[in-house]
Amino acid sequence: MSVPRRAIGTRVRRVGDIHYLARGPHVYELSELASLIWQLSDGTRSQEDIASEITAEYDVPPDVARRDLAQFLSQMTESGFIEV
Amino acid sequence: MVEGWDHPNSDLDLYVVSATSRHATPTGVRLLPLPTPEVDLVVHYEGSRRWDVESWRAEQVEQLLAKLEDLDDPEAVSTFALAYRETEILYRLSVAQPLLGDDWVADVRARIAESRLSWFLTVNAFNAADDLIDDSVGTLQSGDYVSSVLAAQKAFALTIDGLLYSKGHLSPNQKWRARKFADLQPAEISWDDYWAIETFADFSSSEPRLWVEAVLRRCEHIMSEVAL
Repeated sequence: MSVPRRAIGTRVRRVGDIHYLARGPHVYELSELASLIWQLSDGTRSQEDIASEITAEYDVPPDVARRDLAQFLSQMTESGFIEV
Repeated sequence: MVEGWDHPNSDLDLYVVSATSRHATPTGVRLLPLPTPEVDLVVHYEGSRRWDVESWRAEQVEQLLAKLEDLDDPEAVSTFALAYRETEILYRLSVAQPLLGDDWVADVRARIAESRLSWFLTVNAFNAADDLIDDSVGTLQSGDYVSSVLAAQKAFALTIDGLLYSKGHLSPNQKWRARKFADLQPAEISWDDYWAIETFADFSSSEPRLWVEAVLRRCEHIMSEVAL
């Protein structure tokens, strides 16, 4: 099981509960859920651990949490924000 | 003495703010980027204690406070800048012990507190930290470990400065960073972790990469925790 971790060199700002990320040409305004995933991607939690926390926090079925998480991590990995 | 951080070699900083007066024989004149730029400085000794007396005019303080209002203007904020001495007098005004003019000082203090100065100083420090993180990552990739280590250490220092600004401590003087940290005890990082990085306590010259990466991750974690 992969262990996602935020890549060094990402500019991060938090305004209220919203995180803004910038890396090279990529800039993201994270949703509340994406912010949570970003914060949990600290290199100590597996993808499954993070999916469990999403399920608990948002009361969504585990398969939906896993799917949304995989989609987000794929996008963030592709643009260099997350390492797995 | 106001902050309780004096020591045997401390000087006494006295600020005289008046409507019009300037000192007749100043030791020096400090120039600030204000419409009225001159601030007179007089150095005086009482026994072995040095006194630095700065003579400000009330209009200069007013000009500074007016400048802070630009921070509320989305167009002006992108080019907003404060000189070190401007930040310092704003900090001094925010903590000073008034000998005269309590009401005036209270009013100025309230206007500083209501301004976005703390936010600006935080953002400014974080932006500078990010630039150094970029340098640290780049030099790490090119194998220039000594430059990477120094850039990481400076990035960390600026990140802590930004963190402390965000908690409302406005002093720009880096020599007080640890004292400020000890007073504020920010939740984002413990004293032990802060002091270990500040003093290179856990740095290993045989593994600089590990130290750099840990420090940079710490910087980015802190910046992601501080709500602007």
